[in-house]
Amino acid sequence: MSPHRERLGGQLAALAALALLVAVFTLDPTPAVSPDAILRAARGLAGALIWILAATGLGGAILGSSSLAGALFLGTGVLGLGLFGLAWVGLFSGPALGGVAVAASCGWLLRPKIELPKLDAAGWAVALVCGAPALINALAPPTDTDEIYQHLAIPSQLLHVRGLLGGLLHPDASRPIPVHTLYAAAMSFGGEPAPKLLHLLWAAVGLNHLRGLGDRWLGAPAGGAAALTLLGSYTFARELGLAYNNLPAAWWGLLAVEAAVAGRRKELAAYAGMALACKYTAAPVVVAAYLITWRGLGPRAVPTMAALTAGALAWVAPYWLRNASEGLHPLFPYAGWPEAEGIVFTYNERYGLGRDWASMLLLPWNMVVHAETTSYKFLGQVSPAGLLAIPGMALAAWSRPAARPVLAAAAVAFVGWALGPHWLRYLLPAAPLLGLAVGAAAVALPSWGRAVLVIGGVLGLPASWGPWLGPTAQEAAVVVGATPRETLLKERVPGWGAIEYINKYTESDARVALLFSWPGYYVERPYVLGSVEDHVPARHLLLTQGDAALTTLRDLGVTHAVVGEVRFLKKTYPFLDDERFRREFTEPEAALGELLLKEGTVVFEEGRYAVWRFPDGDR
Amino acid sequence: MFFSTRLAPPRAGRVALLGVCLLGLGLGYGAGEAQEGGRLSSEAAVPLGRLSVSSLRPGVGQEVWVEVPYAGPFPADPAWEGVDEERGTLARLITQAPGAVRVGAFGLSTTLQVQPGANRGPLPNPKAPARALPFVSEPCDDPRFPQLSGLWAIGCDGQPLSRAEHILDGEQVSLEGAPVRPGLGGGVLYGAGPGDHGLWRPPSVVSSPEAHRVPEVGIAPPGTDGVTGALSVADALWVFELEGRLRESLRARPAPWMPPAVDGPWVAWVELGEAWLFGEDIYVRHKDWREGAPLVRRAGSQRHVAASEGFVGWIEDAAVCVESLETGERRCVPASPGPSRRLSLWGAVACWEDYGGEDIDVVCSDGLALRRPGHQHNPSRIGPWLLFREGNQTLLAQAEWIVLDDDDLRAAPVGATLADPLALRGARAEGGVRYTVSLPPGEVIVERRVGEDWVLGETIEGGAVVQIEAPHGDAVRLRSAP
Repeated sequence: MSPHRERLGGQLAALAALALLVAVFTLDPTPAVSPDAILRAARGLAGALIWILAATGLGGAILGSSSLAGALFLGTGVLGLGLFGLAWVGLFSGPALGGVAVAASCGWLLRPKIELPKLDAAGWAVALVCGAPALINALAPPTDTDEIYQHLAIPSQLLHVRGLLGGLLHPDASRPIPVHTLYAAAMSFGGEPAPKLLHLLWAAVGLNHLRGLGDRWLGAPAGGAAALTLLGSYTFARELGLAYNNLPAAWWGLLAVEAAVAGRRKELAAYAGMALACKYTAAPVVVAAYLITWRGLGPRAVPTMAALTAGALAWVAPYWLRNASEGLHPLFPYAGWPEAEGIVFTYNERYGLGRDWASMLLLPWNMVVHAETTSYKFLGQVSPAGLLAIPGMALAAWSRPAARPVLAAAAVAFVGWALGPHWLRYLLPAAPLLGLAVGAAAVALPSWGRAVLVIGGVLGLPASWGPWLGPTAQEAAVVVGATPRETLLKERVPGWGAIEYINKYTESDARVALLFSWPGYYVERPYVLGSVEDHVPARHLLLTQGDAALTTLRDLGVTHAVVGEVRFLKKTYPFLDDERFRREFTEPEAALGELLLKEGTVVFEEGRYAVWRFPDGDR
Repeated sequence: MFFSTRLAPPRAGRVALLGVCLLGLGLGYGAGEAQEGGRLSSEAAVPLGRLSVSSLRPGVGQEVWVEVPYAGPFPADPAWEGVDEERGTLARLITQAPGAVRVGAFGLSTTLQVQPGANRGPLPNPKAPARALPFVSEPCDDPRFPQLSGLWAIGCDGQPLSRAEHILDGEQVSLEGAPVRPGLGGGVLYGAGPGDHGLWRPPSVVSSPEAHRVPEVGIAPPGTDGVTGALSVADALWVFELEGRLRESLRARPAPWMPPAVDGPWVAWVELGEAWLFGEDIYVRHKDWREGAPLVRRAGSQRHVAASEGFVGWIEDAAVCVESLETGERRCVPASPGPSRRLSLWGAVACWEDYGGEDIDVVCSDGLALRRPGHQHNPSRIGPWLLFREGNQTLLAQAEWIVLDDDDLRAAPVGATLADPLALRGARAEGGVRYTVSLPPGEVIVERRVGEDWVLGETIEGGAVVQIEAPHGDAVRLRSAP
C-alpha cells in the first residue's frame, strides 16, 4: 500500500472510531456518561477556556515576554479589577462581558512571547491521578460551604443584578472580589461548572509553574517535590476542583516572590496587590516578597519601597473606596460592623491547639500530627513531608545560598500565618513557598533522606486523600448523570428542603432572609444576609435591631426567612467568658426564636431548618 | 341577585345582617323548610364550595357566621356581579328571634334553628396528671413526632419512628425497618415512597407485605386514618387504600410539609393553588366527588389540617376551627396557635400549642388545658389521653374526666335550648340530648349534669362509637373507671 493510501486509511479509521464514540455515548440507552453531562462539561470548559485565553492574551500583551503563568495571572488580575469596575457601574451583563473577553483576547494580536510549560511523563501521570478527582469536584454540583455562601453565590448575584451588592444586607459581597467577578464571567458563558473549571485550570498552570520554578531556582527535584507536597495535602488538593480564592492568591503570591527575586519591581507590585486583593491572608507572602526586594538596600530604599507598596495597594484600594463610599469600614466585612461593639469576625483562638508560646513552638508538629479535617483542630490536613523536611530546610539554609531567599520567604509567610487563625486553609497563600522550602530540603538531603520525605509523603496520603476522594467518589455518579443532582444536594446542602420550598412554593417576587443559614447560591429569589463566619450577619442584625429585627427585614420587603437552628456550643468558644458567649451567641439566637414566634408563621421545616413566612408574604 | 331584601314571613326567625361579603353572592334569609341534617344543594351558576355555618342552633342574639367559598378560577368572571376577591367569603348575622331561619347563597342554603337560649362561657378545665414515657422520649428530627396513632405512642430511635408504646397496657415494641416520615392514624404507621415504604400495625413489628406502594416519598408525610392513605406530591394528591393496589390522583397543589388528613370517605388538604392571593386554603373531597372543593378559601393562612370521626380541623392565624363534614357546622375558637406545627383532632376536639401565655402551653377545644411551667409542645389527643412534649421528655397526661357539652358538635339536642342558670354554661336542651362519641377502649363512668350537680350514671365500655343519652339536656362527664 502506498504511504498516501495508508495515511488516508488511517484517517478514515480514526474517523470511524470517532463516529463510534459519538454513537456509543449518544445511543447507549444506559450510557456511562449521559449526553447532558458531556454537554454541561463541554460548555463549562469552554466558558473557562475563554477567560484563560483572554487573560493570557491580555497579560502577554502587557508583559511582552513571559511564562504562561506570568501572563495568565497578570491578565487575570487586570480582568478581575476591570470587571469589578464594570459591576460597580452596573454594566455587568452578558454583552459587556463578551466585549471584555474579545478586547482582552486582542492581546494575542500583539504576538506576545509566552513560554508554554513542558510536562514529562511523570508530570502527566501526576496530572492524571490528581486531575481526575479534581475534575469530578469541578463538574459536581457545588455543595461546599464557602462555595454556596460566597464564592459561587456572589458571582450568581452579580449576574442576577448585573452589578454589585454589598453592605450589611450582603456583607459577603463587600469583600474584595477580583476572582469572583471572573467566576461570574465564566459562569455567564459556561454555566455552573465554568468557575470551578477555571479555578482548576489556574491550579494546573500554577502548579506546573511552581514545579519549573523550583527546579530552576533550587535544582531538580525541588520543583517536583514542592508540587507533590502540595498535592499530597488534603487542604490543598480538595480545593483544586472548587471555586475558591486561596489558590489564586497563592499563585499571585508566588509570582510576586518570583518577581522580587528577579528584581522585576513593577510586576512585584502588581502581583502582590492582586494577591492581597484576592485574599487578605496573602499578606505574609506579600511582606516576604517585599523583604526580598528590600534586602541589602537599607533605609535609602524606603521611598522606593513606599512607591512599590502604593503600587500594590492600588489593586486593593478600589474595594476599600467602594466600601467607604457606602459608608462602611474599608475592610468590611472583616472589620467595622457598625453599632455593635464586640462583634468579632473571626476568633483566632477558635482554631488550632492554643496560642501560648509552647503551642506556637509546637505548631509545625501539631498542625501535622493533631490536625483534623472535621474539627477546629486546624480544620484541614497537610502532608507530613513538610514536617519531615524541617531538618533538611535548615541544612539547605546553611549550605545553599540560592535557597535562602525562598526559605526566608517561606519562614516569614509561615510566621505570618501563625499570628492569625490556625486554620490550615489560611496557610494556602503561602503553600507554594512552603512547598519550595520542602523542595530545597529535598535537594539538600542525601538520597536516603529524600526517601524519608517520600515515605512520609506517601504514608500521609490516606489521611489527606481519604477525606478528599471519599466524597469525590460519591460525586462521580452525579457528574456522569447516573444519579440525580438533587440526591447529592439533599444530602450535603444544609437546609436543602427549605431552599427547595423557597424555590418551588414562593412567588417570584418573594424576598428571602437567610438567618443562621447560608446556601445563598441555590436560592432562586433575591435574598439578604446569609452567613459568614460565626453567623455574624444574623447576629449583628439581632444585636443592633433587637425586637425590631424582623420588622426591619419586613420593611425591606423580606417576605420569608430561612432559619437554621445553630445551637451554639460553649465548648467551641472556650476562650469566651460565659457572659460574653451568652450575649453574643445564645441570646441573639434565642431572641430570633422569640421574634419568629410573634411575627412569623412556619410553613416548612426539615431537620434544623425552617421556612418562616411574614405577614403579607406571598399575598 | 345581590343581597336579598325579601321580608321575612310571620313566625320566621329574624336575623340582622351585619355584613355580607360573600364574594358578592346573595344571601337570602326567611322561612324555609329546614333541610335534613343541614344538607346543601348547589344550583348556582357561580362555582361555589361548601356552605359552612358557625352554629346550626344559635341562641337569640348570637352572632352566626356563614361562609361559602368561591370555587372558580381567579380572576373571577366580571359578569358575576359583586364577586369580590378582596373582601372574602364571610357573612355575619345576629339572630333576633327563635325559629327556623334559612340562609343561603344562590342555590346553596341551610337552615338555622334559632334557640331561645344559648350556652355561654368556657368549658371547665379538668385536672390532668401526667407521667413520662421514657421509651418514646428520644427526640425526633421532625418535631411533629412523637405522636399518637390510635392508642400507640409512636416515638423515635435516632431518625426512624421505630418505637411504639401502648398507652393503656404499656406494651413496648421496636418496629423493624421503621419509616422516618410516616403518616400516623388509626393505630398504624404508613411510610410512603422508596426508602420509607411500609405499613406497620403495632404490636406487629414488621411491615405488612400488602402495603400500598407509591413511587415517590411525596412532599409531606402521608395522611391516614388507618385504612385509607393520602400523599401530597408536586401537583396532585394521591388517595389509596393502605393495603390496596389502586391509587387515585386528584388535581391539587398541596402544600409541602403539611400532611393531608384522611377520615373515612373524606380527604382534606392544605391547598396552595391561590397562595399568591389568599395564603394557604383548606380543600376537602368526598370519595364520591370527582375533584376536591374548597372548604376555606379566603385571605389568611389556613393550615395544618386534621380529620377524625367525621370532623375536619385546621389552624388559622388567630383561631382553631373544627367542622362537621356531614353538616357543615363549624366552630372556630379564638386562639394563639402561633407557629404550631400540627393540629391534633380527636373527633370534634382539637388540641394545639397555645402561644398566648408567658410560655407555650397545650390547650384543647373541650376545656382540657396543660398550663404547666415551661413549654409544652406537640399535643396528640385521644379520649382523656393527651400525649405531649416537655423539655426532652414525652409525657402522657390523663384528664380526670372529659366533658361533653350540649353545645358540642357531637351533641344532638332533642328540643329547644333554654336558658338555665344552673346548667353547665347557662343553658340546656329541652327534652334531652344524645351524644355520639368515639371512645378509646376501657370502662367509662358516665356522670350527668342535673341542676348544679353531677349525678353518677352507668358504666359503659369504650372502644367503639357510643351513644349517651342525657335526658335532662345538659352536659355529661366521662370518667375512666378505676
